[in-house]
Amino acid sequence: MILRNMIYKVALLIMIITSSIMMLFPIYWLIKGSFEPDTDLIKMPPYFIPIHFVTYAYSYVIKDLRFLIYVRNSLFVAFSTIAISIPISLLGGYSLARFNYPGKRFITNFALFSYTIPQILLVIPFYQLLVSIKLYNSLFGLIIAHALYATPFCLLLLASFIETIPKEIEESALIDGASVLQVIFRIILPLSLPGIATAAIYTFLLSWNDFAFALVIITSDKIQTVPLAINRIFSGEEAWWGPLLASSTIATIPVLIIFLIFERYLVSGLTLGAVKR
Amino acid sequence: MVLPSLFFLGLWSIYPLGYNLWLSFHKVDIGHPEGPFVGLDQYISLLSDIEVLKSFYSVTIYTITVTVFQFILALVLASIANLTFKGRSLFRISMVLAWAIPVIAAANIWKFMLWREGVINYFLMIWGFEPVSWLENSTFALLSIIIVSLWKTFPFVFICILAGLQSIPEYLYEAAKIDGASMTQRFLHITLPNLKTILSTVIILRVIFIFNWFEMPWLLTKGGPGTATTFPSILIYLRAFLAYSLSEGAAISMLCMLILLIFIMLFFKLSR
Repeated sequence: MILRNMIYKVALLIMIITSSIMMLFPIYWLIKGSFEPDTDLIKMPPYFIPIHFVTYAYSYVIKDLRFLIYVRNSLFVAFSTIAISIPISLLGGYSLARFNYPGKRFITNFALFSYTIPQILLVIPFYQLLVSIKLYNSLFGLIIAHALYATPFCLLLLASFIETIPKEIEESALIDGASVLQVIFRIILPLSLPGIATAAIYTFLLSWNDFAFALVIITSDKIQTVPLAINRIFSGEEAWWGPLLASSTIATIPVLIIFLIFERYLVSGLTLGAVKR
Repeated sequence: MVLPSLFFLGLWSIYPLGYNLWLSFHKVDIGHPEGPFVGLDQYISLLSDIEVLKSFYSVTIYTITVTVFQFILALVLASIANLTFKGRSLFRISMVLAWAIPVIAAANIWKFMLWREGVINYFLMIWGFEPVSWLENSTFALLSIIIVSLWKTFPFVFICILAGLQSIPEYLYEAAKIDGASMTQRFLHITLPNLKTILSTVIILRVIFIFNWFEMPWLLTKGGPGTATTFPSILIYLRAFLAYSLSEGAAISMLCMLILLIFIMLFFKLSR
């Protein structure tokens, strides 16, 4: 019995360690590689612990490829997307959580349905839409696409978050003569900040990480986002790995930091669409 | 108050689907928005197009493999993460970290690792295998996309299953233990039935997502070598934006929708 217990524990330990290594090793390999000189990157066998530490892949990416422009574009798109999709989802979520009207159930299901629509099926209609309203090849067009992309999830998330706030606080405010808008700004907004933060972070990740919409919508060099700029760095047969790894690290680091700080909120928010409804 | 969101939802779902449907019955190219009505001709020519049929075949293999492995792995590892042990939260974080990594970065990391002289071939060589040109060989290219997709999409399934496991009340297991149920019995008779709703929802979400996933296959192989990994999602992009035939792309999108709709209906019928 004791022996069986021991074997069970060792087997568990082995599974925990191997699966963690499988999941984390690629991230380590990326960051490590981005600080290695080119000669070490193509060395066989590779150095598992780096022995030379250089930053010239970064200086090439930032100075020669003017990468900061693309970082700025990406940040602009991400924050504008948040500024559009969060207020709209907050209003809609409040209405879904608090009022009763015919078609409410339908709107929830509609949001769920929209949440499952795959991006690639939307690329052609969006392209045509943006061409016809003259926002093709512009950051504003990309912002519209991202805002629409984020809304179904943010709406569901905020609706179910507001549902957990006790109704009594608003009711007493309404009795005291506050208007609905005042209630939203003075009561709902501060109380649902954790929910809003989760939705905003989710939107940020979605916009910052998006490649497919940007690929179709953006064509000029100056307004490329980070994923597009990385995609243009040559990555063929005898690839020049340094810049590729350094730029990918630049795209990854903000996301990793955000994720590690807000891990708890993000993980509980993510299951909403799938588990709760 | 809900109207703006409703407008957004409609613009996100009804407009594109309706427009795709309209496009698929017309012959519209980029730059020529007024195309003639061609009825079902587009569909007929696509369904006799070997490349299209092959793409649906290869994406089916891809979707089934990724989904099955992902759920087996997620069930096992989420059960482990649901136990109490030292470093449990560290283990959970390491399982879900890949979810947040941008697809482009994930693709580049793996390209670097799968490269002819990359670290994966290095491991193969120490274990006595021949090195493989992962992304240049048709069989291995599909396998590479499957492995990388598993790595990137596993966290979401893991999170959902873990949330489901945590919602199963502890006393069910304790009662079963007292009655002398083995670990396998407890898994089959308590864990699985309680997870049923979550599992079926997440399976559908995953199948829809992976079946249509454009970014990862495109970034890894661009559909190559040859047409080995040209999934419908890649064909949509190739036909619509590189061959300028928006209508063909839209018709392939509609075929994808149709296949997934049939799958979802079958799935619900069988899982009842």
